[in-house]
Amino acid sequence: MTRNDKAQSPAAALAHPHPDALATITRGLAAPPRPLTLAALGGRSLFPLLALLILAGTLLWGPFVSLALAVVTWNLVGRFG
Amino acid sequence: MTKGLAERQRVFARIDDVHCVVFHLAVLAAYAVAFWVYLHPAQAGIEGPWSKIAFVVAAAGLLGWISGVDVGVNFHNHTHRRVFRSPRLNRWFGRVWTFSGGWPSYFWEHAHVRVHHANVMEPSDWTLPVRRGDGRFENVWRYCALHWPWRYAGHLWHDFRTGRGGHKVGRRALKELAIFAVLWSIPFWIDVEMALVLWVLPHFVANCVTMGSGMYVQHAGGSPRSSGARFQHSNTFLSRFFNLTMFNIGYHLEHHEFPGVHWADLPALHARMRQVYAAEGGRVVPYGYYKAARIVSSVFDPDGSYVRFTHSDLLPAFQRPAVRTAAWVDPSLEANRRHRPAVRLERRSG
Repeated sequence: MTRNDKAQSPAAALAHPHPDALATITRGLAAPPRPLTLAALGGRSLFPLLALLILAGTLLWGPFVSLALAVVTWNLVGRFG
Repeated sequence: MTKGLAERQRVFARIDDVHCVVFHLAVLAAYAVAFWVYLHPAQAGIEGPWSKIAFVVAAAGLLGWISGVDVGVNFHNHTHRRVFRSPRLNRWFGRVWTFSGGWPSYFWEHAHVRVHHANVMEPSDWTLPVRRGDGRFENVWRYCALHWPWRYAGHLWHDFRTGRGGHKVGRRALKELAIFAVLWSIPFWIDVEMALVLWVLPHFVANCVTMGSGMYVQHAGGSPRSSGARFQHSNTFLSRFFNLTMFNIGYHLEHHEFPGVHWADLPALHARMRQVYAAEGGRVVPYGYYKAARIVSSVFDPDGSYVRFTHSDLLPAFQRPAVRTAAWVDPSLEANRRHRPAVRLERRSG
């Protein structure tokens, strides 16, 4: 590790918490813009879309099935989320 | 596609912020659908009191859940990094963002940025649970029941009257409260009974259950910076499913250390800081808030489950002597933790 590398490592920057030093930690962090895909949009908004589906689905399957689906969803998310 | 991307970026500060807007619009659509079903019960097979109760319980729970995430995570990102380029659009979209979670945007931003972030875990951070004499948070049920809206209202009233948060903060708060009152009352103009069960009740769930438990697990077991423990004020949660669906809010230690970093960049920041946090006693668990909230809300063993979440479940690489020496830790649980197989770190790393 060169002297310059040490100066820009997170540990070195935190040891000297000057704003310029802290900026070295986040420098170059931003990922390049990616095209939006339906899969990405659906993944990030999974929970509201799921809620929307269950609530709209009440018209098809009735309120008791919606309640059952809501309970199952909460339990699954509580277990794995 | 390239042209479309460029055009969207003229509106959005960053292309990833389209996700934030889609999320909020999906929440509003869910409310609209729930209202429509409630007002047209025959078409949904709601024919008696029990079927109506079933729908209300399902809808209030679902709407409360997603509203809590929409304000506590999604709008939260906006308070740190505005999603639009236009200041006016940011201000007005913010107002429309939080009214469906029971908050004036200015009030939530004050509580989060000027109180919570500026004083995290210190006595002046009134957004967090009250701490007991031994440093533990109060019971999560007590916090969720008492904090919103009761404690929030008292503290906000005090802050806005005393000028905490800047010049003319009281006047600004009054203006924002008036705008909120107009927006928030819309469902009451449509149907009062519907507004009570599908608007007020979901907001109770959003604040007391979703946001309350989220705030609790984000900082439970931690110590303020003034204690000398620099990176123990917040917990980081590494569940990939959780972070994918919750705008990377699980990287909470990273977020508090660098609140200006965009939510999409937090996993990269974690990778960059991981060794530093491991060396300094950063607190990292392998799951997400939902499972954490389930653990700490145990009714039958509240103390044991609190120790499990705040100590036993920390990833082995992040378990430091400084964290383990808290006076209230049960020695027998500590012995169990030391004998756990250290396999999770390898599985989760990277």
